[in-house]
Amino acid sequence: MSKLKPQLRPGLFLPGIILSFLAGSALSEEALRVASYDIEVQLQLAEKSLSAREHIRYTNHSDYLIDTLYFSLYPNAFRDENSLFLRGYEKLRKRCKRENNWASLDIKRIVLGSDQLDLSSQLMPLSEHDMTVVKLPLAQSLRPRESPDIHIEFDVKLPEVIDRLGYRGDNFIIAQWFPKLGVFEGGRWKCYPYQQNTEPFADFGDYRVKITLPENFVAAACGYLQSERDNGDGTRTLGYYAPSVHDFAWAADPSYEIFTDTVDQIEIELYLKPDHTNKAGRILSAAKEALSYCSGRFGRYPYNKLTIVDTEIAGNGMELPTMITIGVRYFPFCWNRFEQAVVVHEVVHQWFYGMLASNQAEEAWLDEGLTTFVTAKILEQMFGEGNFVDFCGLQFGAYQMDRLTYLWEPSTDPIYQPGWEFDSELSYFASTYSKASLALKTLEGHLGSEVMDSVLVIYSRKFRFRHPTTFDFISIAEEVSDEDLSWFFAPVLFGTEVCDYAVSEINSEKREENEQLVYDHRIKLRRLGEMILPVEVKIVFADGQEIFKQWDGSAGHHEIELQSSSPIEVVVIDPDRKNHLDVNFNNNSKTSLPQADAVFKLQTRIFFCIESLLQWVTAF
Amino acid sequence: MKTIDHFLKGLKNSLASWRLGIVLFVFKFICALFLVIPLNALLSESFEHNLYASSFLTRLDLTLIIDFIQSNIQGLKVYLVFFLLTLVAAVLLNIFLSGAIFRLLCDGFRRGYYSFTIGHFFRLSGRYLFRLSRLFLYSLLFYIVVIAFHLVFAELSKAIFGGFSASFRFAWIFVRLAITGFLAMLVVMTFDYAKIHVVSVRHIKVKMTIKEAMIFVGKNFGGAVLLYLLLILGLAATVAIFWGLDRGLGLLGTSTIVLILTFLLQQTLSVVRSFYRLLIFSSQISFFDDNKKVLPRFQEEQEEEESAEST
Ligand SMILES: [Zn+2]
Repeated sequence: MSKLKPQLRPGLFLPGIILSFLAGSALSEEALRVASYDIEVQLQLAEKSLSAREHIRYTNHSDYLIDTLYFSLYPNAFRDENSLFLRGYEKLRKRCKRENNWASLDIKRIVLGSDQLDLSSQLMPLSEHDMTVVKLPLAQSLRPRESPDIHIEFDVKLPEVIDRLGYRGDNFIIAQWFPKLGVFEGGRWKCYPYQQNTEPFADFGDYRVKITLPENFVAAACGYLQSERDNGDGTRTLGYYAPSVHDFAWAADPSYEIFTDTVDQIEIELYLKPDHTNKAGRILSAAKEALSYCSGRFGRYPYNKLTIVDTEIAGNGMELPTMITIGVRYFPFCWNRFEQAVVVHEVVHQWFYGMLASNQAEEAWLDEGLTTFVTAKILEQMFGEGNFVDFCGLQFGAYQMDRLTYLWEPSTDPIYQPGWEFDSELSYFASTYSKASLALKTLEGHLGSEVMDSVLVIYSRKFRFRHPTTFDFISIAEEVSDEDLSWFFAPVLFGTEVCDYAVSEINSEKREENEQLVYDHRIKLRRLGEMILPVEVKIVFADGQEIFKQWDGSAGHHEIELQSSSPIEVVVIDPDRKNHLDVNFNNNSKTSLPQADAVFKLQTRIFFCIESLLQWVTAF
Repeated sequence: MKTIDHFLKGLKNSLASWRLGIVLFVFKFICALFLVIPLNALLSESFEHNLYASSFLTRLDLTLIIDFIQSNIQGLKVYLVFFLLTLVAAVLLNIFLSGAIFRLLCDGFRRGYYSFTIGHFFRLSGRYLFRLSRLFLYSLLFYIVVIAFHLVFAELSKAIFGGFSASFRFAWIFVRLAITGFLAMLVVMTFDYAKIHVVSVRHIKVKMTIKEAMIFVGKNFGGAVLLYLLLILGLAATVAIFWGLDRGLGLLGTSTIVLILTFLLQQTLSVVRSFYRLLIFSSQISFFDDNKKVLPRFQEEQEEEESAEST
């Protein structure tokens, strides 16, 4: 395993604090190979199925004896209506039933080592109704450092795209398609049945995959294309190599058109359907921008290729190591940037998922929250505030999106929670993406952007090619800031309390003292939510003087009494907008004079809109 | 040239019937006021003493709007129900008023004068209420047919043009929208002529008015469409002028006086649009009278009216 010195983008200033943290530790360019896969797969076009042979080299890097192997067989999530996954999505379940659209992964033969004994009959599903995880009890436990070879022959029946697997016409997206070992960590297997809001979790390894498909198909896959063979029977075989990754997926379509570009010696290959080639420039430039941004901060992108594939799946985009998918639309107007937003999001995942391979099933916020947070920063840098939509002066960006979803479900679930325990998909999204991103922005407000940058930089470099946990992140944040941050993380990550502070009253009395006017002020602040965070208050007087007060935010209400020679103009809670978890910014300030003009403008605009609406509905 | 002539005659008649325009404007103004008052109470509570509200002077800060909606979600749900009910009431009330308005417009155009007393106005409103309401329901039926056509046409287009380039299919969406828009315009136009029948012929049946109107539009298709297109063009030009003036005012800053001027400009447009409704109808009466020479029962009706007024 080669170790290199940290490679920093020239011109990017890294504060001394980061260099001191990283001193002595080199930035790894490769992962510890735990599970490597050699797969030969054939796409049967007419049957819409795959038949494959897989050879896994697994090494027990733990200090425990392993007596069972756990495999995840994701396509079985769509095997029948009783699967855990479909029981979590009633609408999808009904649709599959109605369309008779099912998928499956069947292991035909499994052999350990040089033994020729087929063990497939000994595979046991984790639960009676769900075949997405099977376990294989071993006759002889694996000792630490023991490295058995596992040979599997399997067939996959593909569905018409469900979730992230299948075909639509001639377009194939083949993700989570092969028997894959779980992660053995802390003396137990972490291999989760595929269910609602549960994303896969796997170890790093090298993947060598040979894909045989009809010769007219264009294929896109993780890693690098290394060999290409015409089989002379109307098919060809493409050999891919993806080193130091924890997953492998591919897509194929006869009509793909390929566009390429490079940034920092990384080749970007974009596979677009002919209808969507008008989007090539936008997608490539967004990918370049995101790769540059992340490489410069979170450690160099260690592969020299990134593949982007246009394919339609649930959720519109999907992250895979060295590859991302995106559902492109022809829609040519440039006031919407949803595609760029998806591309940036998935590119950022190359770090927070790809290299920092956290347990997505149990603590999804680590990759989705961090990715959403960094994506918003990149998009703001690229397009300003209206980075999703900028239409006739109306600006809607990643930040508004986060506020919107967070406020929809602010207290249903905590951020830190296994995916399957979330109340709904919306609540999962609101917590692990939006609330987590806003929480990180709030932390940034508290620590300052330089310290926050350092936290992310050090976290991403220290845990590169590893499986960092929430507690790793917290300890880095505390170490870098040199502060006990439990007051922040405890309620924000692990609680469901709502944060809402308000300025409720300003009472001022005027009197004369030594022939001078003196004002006695009583300012009342209130805590309307249960979450307790420290509060900063700014008081501005008519003569321009400003004073700042602190409140620990713990009591239900708090009074500030003060005297001044001038009346109060405005009282503002959190004047620099550091707390993005406060669910209502509109009660964070109180001005003594009404904002008559602004309210008049808003009200008259609305009035005119209603008049115009009436004009339409009363046209009869 | 004839089209412009009808347009000008319509313009003359609608200006002469200024009282009716004012009735339409005041009606909309009061309905809008009724709809906006509860919302204004919520807006004032959130924004009146809110430091960040000042951003509304220069732009619409969606973060504040999102917070406003989420923190008032229960109140806004109740408001939405109130809003929809009021809207339905406004539509019904508008049908009630339009009987008198259309009839008086016809009188003004055909006799050169009309009598505008409250009693007469409401008597006419009452007289045509039932038939205009039924006509309104029929028009909804026609709109549903147009929408259904749009959907079927969309499916058909998908089947026919599925293999064509994306840019062609995208452009085709606009062609489809234009076709649907044109059909909707035909419905609006036909029902305007049906209304002219309703207020011109005393005992004519509703179904008959639609049939007559369709025959009329069929026979005078080119002229009727041309007139309507001219009217739409005029409206578009009016709105464009408003938009330009609004932008111009926006450049003058956000002082109270500019805000008041902007409000007055908005209300001016509202008045103009009310008159425009009269203009559309008047021009169509002119076109109708010019092309539908024989309408014996109308004569009958008019004589009956005149004798009633003289006694
Ligand atoms: Zn994501």
